[in-house]
Amino acid sequence: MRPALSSARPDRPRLPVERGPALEGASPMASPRPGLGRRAAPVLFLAPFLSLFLATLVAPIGYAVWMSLFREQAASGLGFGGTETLFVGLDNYLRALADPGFRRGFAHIALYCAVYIPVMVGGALTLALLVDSALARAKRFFQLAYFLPHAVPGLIAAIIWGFLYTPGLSPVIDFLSGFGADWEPLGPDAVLFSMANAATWQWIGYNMVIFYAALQAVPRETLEAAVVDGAGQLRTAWSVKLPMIRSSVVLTMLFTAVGAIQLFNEPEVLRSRSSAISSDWSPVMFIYQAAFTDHDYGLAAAGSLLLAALGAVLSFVVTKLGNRWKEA
Amino acid sequence: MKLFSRRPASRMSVSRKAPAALAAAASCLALLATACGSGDSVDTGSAGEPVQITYWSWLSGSKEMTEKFNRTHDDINVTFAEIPAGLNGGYDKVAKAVAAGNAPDVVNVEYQALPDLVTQGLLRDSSAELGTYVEGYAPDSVRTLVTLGGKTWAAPYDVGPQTLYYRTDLFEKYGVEVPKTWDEFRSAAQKVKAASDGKARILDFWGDDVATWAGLAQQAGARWYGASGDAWKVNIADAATKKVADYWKDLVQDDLVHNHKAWSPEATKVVTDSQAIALIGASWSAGGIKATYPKQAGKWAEAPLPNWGTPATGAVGGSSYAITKDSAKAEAAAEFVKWATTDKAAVTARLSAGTSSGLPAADELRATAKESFDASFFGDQDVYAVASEQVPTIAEGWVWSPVHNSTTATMQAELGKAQKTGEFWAAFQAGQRAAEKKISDRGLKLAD
Repeated sequence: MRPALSSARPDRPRLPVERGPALEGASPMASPRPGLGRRAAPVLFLAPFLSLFLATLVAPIGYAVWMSLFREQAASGLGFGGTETLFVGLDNYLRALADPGFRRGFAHIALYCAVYIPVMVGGALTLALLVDSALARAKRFFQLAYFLPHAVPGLIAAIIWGFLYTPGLSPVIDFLSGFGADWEPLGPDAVLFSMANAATWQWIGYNMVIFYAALQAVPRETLEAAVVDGAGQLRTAWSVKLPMIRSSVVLTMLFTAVGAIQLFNEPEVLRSRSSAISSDWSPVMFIYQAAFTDHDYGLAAAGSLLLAALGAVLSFVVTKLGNRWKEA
Repeated sequence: MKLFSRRPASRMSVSRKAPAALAAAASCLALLATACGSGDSVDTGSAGEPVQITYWSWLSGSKEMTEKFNRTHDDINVTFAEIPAGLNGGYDKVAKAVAAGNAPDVVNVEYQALPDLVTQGLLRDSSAELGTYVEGYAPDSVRTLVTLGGKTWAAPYDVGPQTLYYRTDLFEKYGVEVPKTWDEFRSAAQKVKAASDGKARILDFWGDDVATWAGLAQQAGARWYGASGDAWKVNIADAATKKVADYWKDLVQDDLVHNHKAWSPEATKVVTDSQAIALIGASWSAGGIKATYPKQAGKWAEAPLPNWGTPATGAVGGSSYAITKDSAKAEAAAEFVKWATTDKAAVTARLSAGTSSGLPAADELRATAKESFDASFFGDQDVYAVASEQVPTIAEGWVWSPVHNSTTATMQAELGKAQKTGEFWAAFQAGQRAAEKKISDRGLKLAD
């Protein structure tokens, strides 16, 4: 171990304190208002990002907030006289929160996360540690093989899994029923696990690559020291490697959780095959239905903002917890 | 939500994206061109310049039909653009276009979606242009569907009486007559199961398909929706619907029919494998069955649906032509709509383009439609005559409501839960509650 050496960083070039020739030459011209160029530069550099950020993120969110305050109502009893738009304040938010379908969606997602995140992150971690272990052969092949499912677009993956889950079409179910097993992956009890399984298949390799990359950054001398101290492969993985890639694990969990609350592709595709998935199964599906079936754009906007708020809270909590774990 | 989009239509919307995009692009260009260059154009198309109108649809053969119209008309020129099937985004596209002020003049609207579009304020009250015209050719049961609040909102194109499709070879093999009543149907179901040693069932019932249920309920005398004064009535959970739900519950619980999710691969498979030897469809299903089970050519036939003792039929699906709210060329649009709904050339052009077997609402067009449909799949049976004879028996007074699409989603989910148990009735009670809630949510009045 060379801790002293690495912290001193002798190879790093010292920043020149004196100004370079180009800046020196420019300084006389800029001398009357020396601060202007300096103040304008960051604005100029930020402009491309800021303009896109405002136009594609802030403006749509602002519009959603505006929309969430209104409601279209029929102007007459039977509704054949057209509609009128009413200001309803926060009523759309209250309606969304009071809707059992919307609340059920969050319950589904919570259960889904409880199943999916431990399995997927745990699995990715195990795979990464296995490939990283000194005993592993053909590391490159396994890296690629595990990553490959992620190259399949999510929608296509959902359709393929839909076929694998359909009795009468799926070779897997045919095979299992040959042994007398009565397995219904799209039935009401199993469909959530089937979805988590499809998502795990798709994401485990991606996250494994992230973990594997992080493991490559673990200093080899630390590992050597562990071996010298008598730690076996398992002990090294658990006590040395894992703690050193905590930040990647936290980041992955954050992305996975935020991705999970936006669940839409898998349930929407499997809905055409499974009677166990309603059209408002996940919060995003509820919002989609409110907007495009019920034309209730106020409710859809309010639901979207509530979902976004939950995403923000979730990010905050995961980051906080993660930081505490990192410091521990 | 592909409940009412027929097979050919929905398939088209998936596999023909590129031409659709091209058509959309072309129509956008055309819109721009008209916007730029025709500031002085008037409704009547003066000085020999044809009036330009636009038409959006997803129904198969629309493009061919529009081309035919343009070849035969000098005073009106129609630009066609293909849009996604109504409930798959087509209606939403129309709504956005109306809001943006660049809506087409004419759109196709399915009957069960019409009240929804009307209450959104997307369509024009076309009583003046089409009122008496529609009375002239449309059967009463269909005219009711496009006349809302005493005004005519669209012109009917086709009508979909519910019918039974069955395998002639297997009915013969298992020694079953085509059932005329639902009692006979139950006996036939027992016979098929016994005669096939439990390998086959008479039917694959699509127990989660709200459209099928609506037809069966209509036949039994139900009227799910109605208007009473200036308020909506909801009667989804009524005695007639209960009778139908209980009938099918018994069949499912006694394992006399298959019950698969509508349009699902499993549903296709049991028919392909001859494990289900009949289907409940409508006049327009003939084309879809032909396309889905090509290997069973010559073995299928169509028959009137069994009834409850007196001839009565429910109607499923069907589309109309409507003029959008802000169309500045309503007169020209109405001309096009009239041609599209009752001219023989229109029907020939539309039907010869695809596998559609839609039954035109206008009686005198059905002979033309028959000629355009190759019925060798049905052993050259006159399927148009079978369907056509059911039209007068369609139970009258059925109307849809503005909230039917939302209610469908609720009922479909609940019906799906009953796939194994056959406890369908709960779904209709849930549908009743959902429809009442949605009507209030939309600010519509609900009758007490």
